[in-house]
Amino acid sequence: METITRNTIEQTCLEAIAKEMGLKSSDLNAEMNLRDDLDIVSLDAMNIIMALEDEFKIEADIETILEMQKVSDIVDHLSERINV
Amino acid sequence: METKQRVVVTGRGVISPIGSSISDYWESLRMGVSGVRKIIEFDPTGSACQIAGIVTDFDSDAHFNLREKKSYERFTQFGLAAAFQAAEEAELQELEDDSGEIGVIMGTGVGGITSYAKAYDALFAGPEERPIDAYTIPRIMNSAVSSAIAISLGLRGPNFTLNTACSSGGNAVGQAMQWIREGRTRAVICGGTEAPVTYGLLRAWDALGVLSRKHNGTPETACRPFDKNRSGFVLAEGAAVLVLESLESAQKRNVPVLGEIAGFGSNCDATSLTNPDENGVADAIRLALDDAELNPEDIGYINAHGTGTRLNDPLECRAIHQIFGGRAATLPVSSNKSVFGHSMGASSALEALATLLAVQNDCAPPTLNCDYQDPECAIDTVSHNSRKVTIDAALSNSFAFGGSNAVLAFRKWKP
Repeated sequence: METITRNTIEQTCLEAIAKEMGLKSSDLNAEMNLRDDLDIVSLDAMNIIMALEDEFKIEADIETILEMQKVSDIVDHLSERINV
Repeated sequence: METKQRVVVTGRGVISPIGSSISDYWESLRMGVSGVRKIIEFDPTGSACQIAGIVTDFDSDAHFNLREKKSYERFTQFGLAAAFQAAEEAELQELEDDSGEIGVIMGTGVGGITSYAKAYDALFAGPEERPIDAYTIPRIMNSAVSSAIAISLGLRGPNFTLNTACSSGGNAVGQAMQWIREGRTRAVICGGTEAPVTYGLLRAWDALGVLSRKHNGTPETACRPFDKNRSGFVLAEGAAVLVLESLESAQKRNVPVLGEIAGFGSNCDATSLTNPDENGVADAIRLALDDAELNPEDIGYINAHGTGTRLNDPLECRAIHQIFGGRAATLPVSSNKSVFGHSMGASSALEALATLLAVQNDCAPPTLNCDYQDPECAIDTVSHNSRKVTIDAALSNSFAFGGSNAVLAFRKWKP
């Protein structure tokens, strides 16, 4: 199976966050804090996770993701799940 | 006999197909400007009725941020926006409610039905299942509206959402009055809200045969209460909210009193889920008069339930004759549903507000489209044009599937 690059995962993740939060993906970056910078609460996070699960055809660990701090933490988690 | 605590109205708010401010709402009602139009929000093909009373001047962005828009279904947004208007008029923001003296009770029939529909669409409407929005549950909760009002305004008193189908808003207002009389609260934000115009619900009501099917080309003529050629109602959406307050509290705060809510008649026909009962309706009117300590001759106007269905209108007229006797033929009675449709759980709140406005303005708003009055509806229907008439007290009739009746009595404010 073709490996999905970390860059692609990060971009998809930023786009999913932007769509859920009504923002422009070009204004976001992976070092942003999910709560302090992006105002993401648990229900937003659930929508973002479900969109990414749908996109990458994987099952994410929801409880782990809900405890994450930064966008890059989600990207790391997804990278591990996708490229197994 | 123990004297009842007087309960007054100090705030009003409205979101409706005929205007989303008190002045616009009353002007449209008074002038008989219809809010019924062709449904364009979705393709109504398949329903014989393709028209509805739609709110067209509601700007969600003007009231709510992104998080609120995601959390609040359309019926909740309507209820909140109307509550904000009412709270501002009543100057409620000056009150700190740390002790829980201000309650909220709202009525709705179908609550967040739009989000139910979206969730089922995600599961079944496409070739593949799609994720269900995580905000679905808070959006569909009927109680979201009363909770959201309390959260937004910091009101820590009793908080209820009430459902008695199409009399929900009227029962909510009546129950609010009881809380104040009992001393449980000093003020209550109360009313009804509904946003039921969805394809599924349109088809369901159409299947019952109670929606008007003959006037898709001329929507403003569709709902024809008391007319020989009436063929049913049209669905509608909207919200109306009142701030009720003990007279003592209003006077202590020195806020303007807009009217007095004097009586509440609530009962159940206990006969049928879908067919109203004349005696149950008459009993509810009698209960409201007794509660208000008013005689039939004190009433200057009745805001009818007036659905424009074959069954309701003559039955309501017979009930009015039971109570008002010979005076029934000349007592002004009108139906707002002819103007903006039937907004289910919100309709009785919108009509309670209209009744209050009629008392305030000494003006009976018209019944539209009663061109050929049904002889079985032998009442004064205030057809076509509003009428200036002294109204010291008035009734708002609301009935519902399930036989749950709510009749409210309003009295002109006299210190």
